[in-house]
Amino acid sequence: MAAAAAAAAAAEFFSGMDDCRLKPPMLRSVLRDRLPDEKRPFRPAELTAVLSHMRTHGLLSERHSDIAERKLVEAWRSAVDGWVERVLSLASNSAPDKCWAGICLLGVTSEECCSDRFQSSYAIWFQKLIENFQSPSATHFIKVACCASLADLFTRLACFPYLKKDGTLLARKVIQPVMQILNEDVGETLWDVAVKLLCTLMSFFPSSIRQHYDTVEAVLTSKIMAAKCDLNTSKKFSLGLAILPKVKGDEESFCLIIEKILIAINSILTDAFQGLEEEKKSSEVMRMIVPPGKDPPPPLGGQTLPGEAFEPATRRLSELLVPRVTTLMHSCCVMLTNPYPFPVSIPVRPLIATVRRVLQVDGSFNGTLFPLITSTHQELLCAVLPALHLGCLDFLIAIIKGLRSQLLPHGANVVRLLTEYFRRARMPSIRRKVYSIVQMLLISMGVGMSLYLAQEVINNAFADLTDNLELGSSAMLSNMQSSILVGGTFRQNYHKKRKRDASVIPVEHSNGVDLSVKTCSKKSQAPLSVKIAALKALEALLTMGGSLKSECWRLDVDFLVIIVATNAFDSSWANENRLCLLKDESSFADYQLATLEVLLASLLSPTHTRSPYLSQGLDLFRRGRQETGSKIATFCAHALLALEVLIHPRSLPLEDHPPPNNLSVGEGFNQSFASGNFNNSTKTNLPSFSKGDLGLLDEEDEEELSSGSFDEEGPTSLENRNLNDKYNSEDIMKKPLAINSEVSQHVLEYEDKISQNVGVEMEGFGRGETIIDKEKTEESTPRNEISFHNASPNKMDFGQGNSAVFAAEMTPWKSETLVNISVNMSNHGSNAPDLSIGKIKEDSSPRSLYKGKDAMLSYDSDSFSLDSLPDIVDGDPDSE
Amino acid sequence: MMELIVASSSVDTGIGCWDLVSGAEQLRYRSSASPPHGLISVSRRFLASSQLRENPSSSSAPIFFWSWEKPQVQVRSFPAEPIGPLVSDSDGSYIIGGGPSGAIYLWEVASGKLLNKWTAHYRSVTCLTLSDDESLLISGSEDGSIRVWPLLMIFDDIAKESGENIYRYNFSEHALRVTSVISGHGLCNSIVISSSEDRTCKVWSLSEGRLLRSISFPSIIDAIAMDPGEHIFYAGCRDGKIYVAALNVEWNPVRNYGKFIIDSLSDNSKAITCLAFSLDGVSLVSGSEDGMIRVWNTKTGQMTRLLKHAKAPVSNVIIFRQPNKINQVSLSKKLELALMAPPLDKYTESREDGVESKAVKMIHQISDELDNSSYCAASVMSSQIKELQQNTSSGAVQMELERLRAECKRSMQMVQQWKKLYNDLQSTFVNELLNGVNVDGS
Repeated sequence: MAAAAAAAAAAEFFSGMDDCRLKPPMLRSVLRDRLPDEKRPFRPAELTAVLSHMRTHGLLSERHSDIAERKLVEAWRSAVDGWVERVLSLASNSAPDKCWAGICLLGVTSEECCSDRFQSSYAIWFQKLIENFQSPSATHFIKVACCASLADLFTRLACFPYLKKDGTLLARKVIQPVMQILNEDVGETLWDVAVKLLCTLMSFFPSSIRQHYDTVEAVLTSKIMAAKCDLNTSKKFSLGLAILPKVKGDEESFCLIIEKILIAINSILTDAFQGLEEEKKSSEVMRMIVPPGKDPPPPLGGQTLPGEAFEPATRRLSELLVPRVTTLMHSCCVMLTNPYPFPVSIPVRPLIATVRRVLQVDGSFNGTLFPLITSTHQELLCAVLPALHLGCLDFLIAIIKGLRSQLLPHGANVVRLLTEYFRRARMPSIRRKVYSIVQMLLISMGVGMSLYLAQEVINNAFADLTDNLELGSSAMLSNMQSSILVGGTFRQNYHKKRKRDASVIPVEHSNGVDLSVKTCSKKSQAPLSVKIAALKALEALLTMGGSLKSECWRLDVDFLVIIVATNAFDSSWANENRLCLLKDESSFADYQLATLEVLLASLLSPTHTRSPYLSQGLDLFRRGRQETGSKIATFCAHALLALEVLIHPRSLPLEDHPPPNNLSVGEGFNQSFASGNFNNSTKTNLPSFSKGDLGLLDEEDEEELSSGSFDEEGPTSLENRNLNDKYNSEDIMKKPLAINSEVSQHVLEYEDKISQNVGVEMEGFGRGETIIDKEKTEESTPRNEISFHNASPNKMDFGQGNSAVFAAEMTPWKSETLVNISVNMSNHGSNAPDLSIGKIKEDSSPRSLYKGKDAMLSYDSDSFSLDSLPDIVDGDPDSE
Repeated sequence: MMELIVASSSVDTGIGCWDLVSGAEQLRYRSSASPPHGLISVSRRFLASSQLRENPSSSSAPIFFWSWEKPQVQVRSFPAEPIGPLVSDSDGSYIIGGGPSGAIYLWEVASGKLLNKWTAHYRSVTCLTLSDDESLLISGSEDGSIRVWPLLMIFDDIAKESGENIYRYNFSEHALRVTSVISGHGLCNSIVISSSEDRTCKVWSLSEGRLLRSISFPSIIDAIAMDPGEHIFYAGCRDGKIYVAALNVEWNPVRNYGKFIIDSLSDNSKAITCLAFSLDGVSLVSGSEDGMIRVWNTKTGQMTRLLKHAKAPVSNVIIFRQPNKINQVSLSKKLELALMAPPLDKYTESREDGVESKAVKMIHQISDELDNSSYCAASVMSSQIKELQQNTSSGAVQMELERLRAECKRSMQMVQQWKKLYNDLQSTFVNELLNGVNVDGS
């Protein structure tokens, strides 16, 4: 009884907003009340409502959950029939506004309607659209609508493979009018949709375009060269040019187009950069694109560049430079990053050479004694250069993305180009982009890339991130002093002291690298967006290369990260919901999130010691998790989960091999971990060997020591160990370190290096080969000069640090160890050449360092010397 | 997707192919006699195998490629010297091979170009592997040395000119020929395990570049495979046993195997020559000198399947997921040809002649799926409505003008109509009036 009543009620009422039966009546009422017809006048606002109504409810979809319900099917079909009829009649209305509405709705209908309906009636719709499109009385507005609707019709048509032939036939009818529109001066909006329609045809019905291939190329080129449209429309032109090769779909046309574009870009650049770059640069790149002996291809878009032919003289070259070049580059970007139906070869070297060419021009008169251009020209060019560089960096991104693993042979080249540029880049937008490229390279090319990029990332990130730390950090720093490890506090003091030194008397920094970076950062505070980019790059570095050859920078980076993170949360948790007035501006919440991300990476990335900032980090994450509903809270929860594994390392063996005493594993671990000296670098907490293995390793070491069971290794490791033990007892490695490039000279690092070098290189080669190394290093080839002077910041630290002690300690080892250090440094230098350029004068000092103990001892004069033991907490010199 | 076991032998018995789960034999690829570590699948696109010299006097031996569908060799390459171990990256962009002279060759698969060749060791290169992130190449040699090469550095001409060693580490703790080397999971902190004819397996840390552990075995280890969790590793021994050695578990010295050796799997076979771990993380496949392939369940320690490859010793076993064949069918003949790699070059191109190296862009994935953004009418319509409402653009004004013009026309027509009506009315009335007058007058 009740069920019957309910059924009856259900028949009358709908079960909710998802009920399919709701739709036919809804459509009918839209038709009745909203849509204009012969009598009802046209009101634009109502049309918006119709559109959103239809799309939200899928009124035209005729998709019902219950096919059996014939009544519904019928009702819906007749409703849609009514709709289509009305739309068609509107489209033939003589009143332009109604006609326009009809055309637009026809386009929407071909997107939204069901497949059956589309297949049965697309021909009629097409006819209606093309009539309007070609009618001489059609207004601009109607033509735009026609293009858009036709594009949608063809897009939908492409979903039915068996209609391909029909589609091609129809497409042929459209091409002529479209080309006509593109050739006429009809205004940007119409061009925009026309080229969209052309792109649709090219990608879905390529055979219809084939005979117009050259015309299309010419038209698109002239549009790009004319550079009259705004960015979005020009991007569509470049997209059209990029998918043009797909029309033929073979290898030759792809390569030809990319070659032509490169030639076009470079000839524009040659005109623009006259006097600002070396003369031969242009021909060099051109030779790379078209190897000598090969015929150059015809210019892009036909015989002459049509754009230039009728270019009014009022538009200067510098005005055209950026839109032309960036649009052409965008074409290449699309070609590189999008799939192509045939394997094609990409001319990598010319591409990279073009990028290099643009990035090398900074607007200065490059080596020319007599400037060939006026200062006005220079000024105009300098005004547009940043935009050009940004476009070029995008181009580089596309190259990297498009090549994927095949970038490998060119990897070193790209890195060198990028690092050189990074040093010069000052503008926030450019720096941000360079950081993101660095991040991308690090992640895609892995550990090998981190060896190359580490130094550069660290130098730049320090410069960008530390600029305002001092302002707001004093309170936080004093807070932290009580809470963190002694060594860390010391590190901070040192850091602050150093920073103050840098700001007050920068002349004292004989290290040019440091100086330039510092002064630059002092002058201009990096905006948040740059900081975020820097943090992300740092995160990528910690993720990929956090433990490989990272001893020299790891501690300082970790320190920086915790400082930046605590600083970011010092004031308050940012309110994500606060309205951002400027859309592009990164909010403080984004910055906070980025600091947390890099903090997590810094805590998780494997090191040989436990991070001294673990508890602070955990505290931040715990507090952050309580910011309910924010992205920060989500991330903090994730971070807590990830860190949980760090604290309770799991080793879940296969069932087959359970460790005999499961409990003791954990205990043993904890004990050894807790009792261990965390700064002790010799007893490593090997992350891949977590848990009970530590105990095992120690045990092993002991056994090795006592029994000498490893013949090859025995003596060395013994000595090695002794050496290290000695250092530990001296506690010298706890000397904290300054930021920046001096990072690399931590005593701790030396110790690590010694142990490593002894372990690997000494044993590996035997003495003979080491001597060869030494000779190599001391050969003063130009390359070595560079690497030596790269290593020059050493001097500072030897001066300030405990190197004298260190050197004295290792007297029996002196020669070998020193050689090893020097080899390492030269490695280091060439991987990440340092910032400064004109420091040849310092060349001799680091070399003298290798000559013997005396040279080093002479530096032993700074405040931080033997008495800088970690348990002495200096009074905070900065607490003003 | 099923997992396949692919095995080759050191004598020409072809390459056998079995389904890992059912054990059913698949296509057998013909004519292959490959050295250890000489069989790879190049990003699951095709099989590649280096070949042993037919007789010791010949100075060269080919590298063969097989496409999945055909048993015959599809492509034959003739490198400058007989290549032993092969390795390829997961993208299938490069094939790297090591030669008896100690040189390592690096080819680009798509073009077949020999991109680089460098002298890596003083003696023959016996095994090669890539680190987890494929940025480091690890090579083992007959003289017992293991070197770690950052691949980027290999192409860094400037660094090379500076005369430094381009390898990152050189491990020379092994006294005799290195027989196998594998690398574990991890970005920069992974471990590398090597086995040698000096009867040890050694575990190395890539981040620190030092020896972590050395494990002595009763006999020479020729093959190693790491448990996916890296708790233990398996070492195939010449005494026919597969030893289980501890990496990350407690070693319990109850059984008398030696330090760090936990257990062994044994089926009384001849020497184990190769091992491979399945993606399921449980099945271990071993190849043996008696020509048999054994599948083990590492959870239970039991052998679950015995496959007969040949009478000759098995030299290589690899496991991988079967390639997606449906994709391949739809390809045109021409494309299929293009997808199959060209033969590998013998020599590097001299860079002097200006012919520069080109990277070949492969088809990553052709997706015919349309995203919703490709439809534009609705958005164009919305923006046009906005224009209309604000009457900002010339187009909107033009249409408004048209509309008004039409309205005007219609109004004019209306006016005309009214006028006519009025005139008619007037004339009627006038007539009537006149008539009336006439009537009155008459």
